[in-house]
Amino acid sequence: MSAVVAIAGFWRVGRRAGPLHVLPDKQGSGGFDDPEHLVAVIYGAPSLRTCLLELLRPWPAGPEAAAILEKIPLPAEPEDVADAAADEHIAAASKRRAVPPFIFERDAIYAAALAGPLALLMLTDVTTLERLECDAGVGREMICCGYPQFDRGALLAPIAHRRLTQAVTNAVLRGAFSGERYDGMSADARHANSTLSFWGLVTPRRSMWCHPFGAPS
Amino acid sequence: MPEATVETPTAEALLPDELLRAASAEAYRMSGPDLVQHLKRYLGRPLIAHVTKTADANTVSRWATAKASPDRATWERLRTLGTVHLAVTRIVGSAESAGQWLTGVNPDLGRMPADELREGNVGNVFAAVRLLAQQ
Repeated sequence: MSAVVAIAGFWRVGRRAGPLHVLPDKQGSGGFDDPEHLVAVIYGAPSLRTCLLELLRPWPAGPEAAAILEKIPLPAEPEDVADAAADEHIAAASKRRAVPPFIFERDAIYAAALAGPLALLMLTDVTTLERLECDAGVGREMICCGYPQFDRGALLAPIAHRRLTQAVTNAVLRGAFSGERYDGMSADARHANSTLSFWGLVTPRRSMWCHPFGAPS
Repeated sequence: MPEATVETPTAEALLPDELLRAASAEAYRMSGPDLVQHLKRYLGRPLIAHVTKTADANTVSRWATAKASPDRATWERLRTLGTVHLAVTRIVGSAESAGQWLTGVNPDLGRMPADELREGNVGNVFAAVRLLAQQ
């Protein structure tokens, strides 16, 4: 057995229409989604901050964004004056960019409870990483991604290496760890200077329920 | 600046590839100056100039009024930029947010989508749009 973390609940940002309603055949963009599209992976975290940071990942301005958007030339012709004013408006809006409105309409914060504790495989554990490295699917993706060895850095890589992290899910479900029946994985995500834990749950959602943050439980 | 009215609002009903095909068709249906007008309104001339590697952003104003015309390769890049912007607009329901997506550090790309487009890595950006549609 590898190291496990037992959890009794989690935070989740989910669809208002059904926060736990996740169809495996619609998945594929999540880091630890099932590459076979047979098992739905539900993501959550021990802290609300992690959920929000993960949700908002694509939206903060890049470090060079301001420099690009503020490179507004002096007007050369009368028609450029209005265009320059519009450019300034866009540059200013980019600086004070907020959470995109569609997220408020689509998603809400939920506190999820579980019928019983779940055991998650800790992907940060050295023994786990060594065993994953021996999994055929993970090994194949390591070669494709150019990793000589499987370590925490490989799991923290940009999601461009999603095939590698999804191979880990495959290993947990039907590969190197298939006989041990974990309820999911505990992994790390890096945000600025922080490394935060998040969870990918493969357990059936009938064993969990959730209520909106702030509502009486 | 007013938000664009998105006539085909949600991407939920469309598969990511269908979404991109529809956005591409829309970008190619627009006349060149209309496309530049649209992009200028939501992205600003500096970002268009950045993606198309155009030295003077005032040139974008000439394209929008048909006083000047970019070369064929630049037109293609503008069409691609339009496709991406229209597709993301359909996903997020806001043309302004879609513009900001282009200058956000994308976790799927590790950099700004605008920089990927500037370098001609169109496939990577389309892949990021598909992933955004699935989230």
